[in-house]
Amino acid sequence: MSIIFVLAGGWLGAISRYGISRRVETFWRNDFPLGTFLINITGSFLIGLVYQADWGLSCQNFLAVGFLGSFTTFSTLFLEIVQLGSRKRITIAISYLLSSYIIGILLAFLALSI
Amino acid sequence: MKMYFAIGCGGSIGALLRYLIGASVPQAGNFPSGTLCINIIGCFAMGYLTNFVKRRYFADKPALAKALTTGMIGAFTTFSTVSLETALLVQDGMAHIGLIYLASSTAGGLGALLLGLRLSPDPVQKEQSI
Repeated sequence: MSIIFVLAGGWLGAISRYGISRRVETFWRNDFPLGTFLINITGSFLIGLVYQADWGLSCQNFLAVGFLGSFTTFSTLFLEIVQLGSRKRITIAISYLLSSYIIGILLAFLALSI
Repeated sequence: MKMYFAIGCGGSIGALLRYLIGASVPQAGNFPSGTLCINIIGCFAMGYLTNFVKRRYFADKPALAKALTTGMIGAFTTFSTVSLETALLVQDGMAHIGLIYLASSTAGGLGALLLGLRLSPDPVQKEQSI
């Protein structure tokens, strides 16, 4: 049964990530990958709230494992970093990595302490 | 519309694989070894598939290409869990394990992605160099 919740959450999470990335690309013209950045830090905050909330296992599987796990991404972040590196945008690559980690963890921490 | 549906299906498969692998990787004490394994495997796959979907076979199948990379591998790997696990380690007074976790995720993810790209030659560049 838990598999159904993971599948449904994963479906919605991936679609939301793609939709938001596409939307951000229409107005953002900088090399900094703003779409993935916003998605990852927002997801980090929300997973802290869900972890705290204690809504039961089904909800946990749907929201945390399925939706937020799928919405946020680690592989795309590193693909973007490698692509920035190959275009000699080292400063942007490093600031992208560090700001994702620092802000993501701070927001998760904040959500845990609300 | 077809693109969104395809990416959603990829996302479901990615999330399911993460759920199954995450449950089967033994927990190494307080260290989040499951997520680390998933993200390293996913970074390798993302590197490999990024070049793989440039093959001519995918030229008229953009939805399938995006479903595999953005959908499936994007969803398989996760950033929010990394943030949460690190925040929990800090909260429990184990910030040093959190730092080791982040360092190994970064080195492992970057190394695996570069290896994946290397093992899957870019077909576009290959044709140009001939």
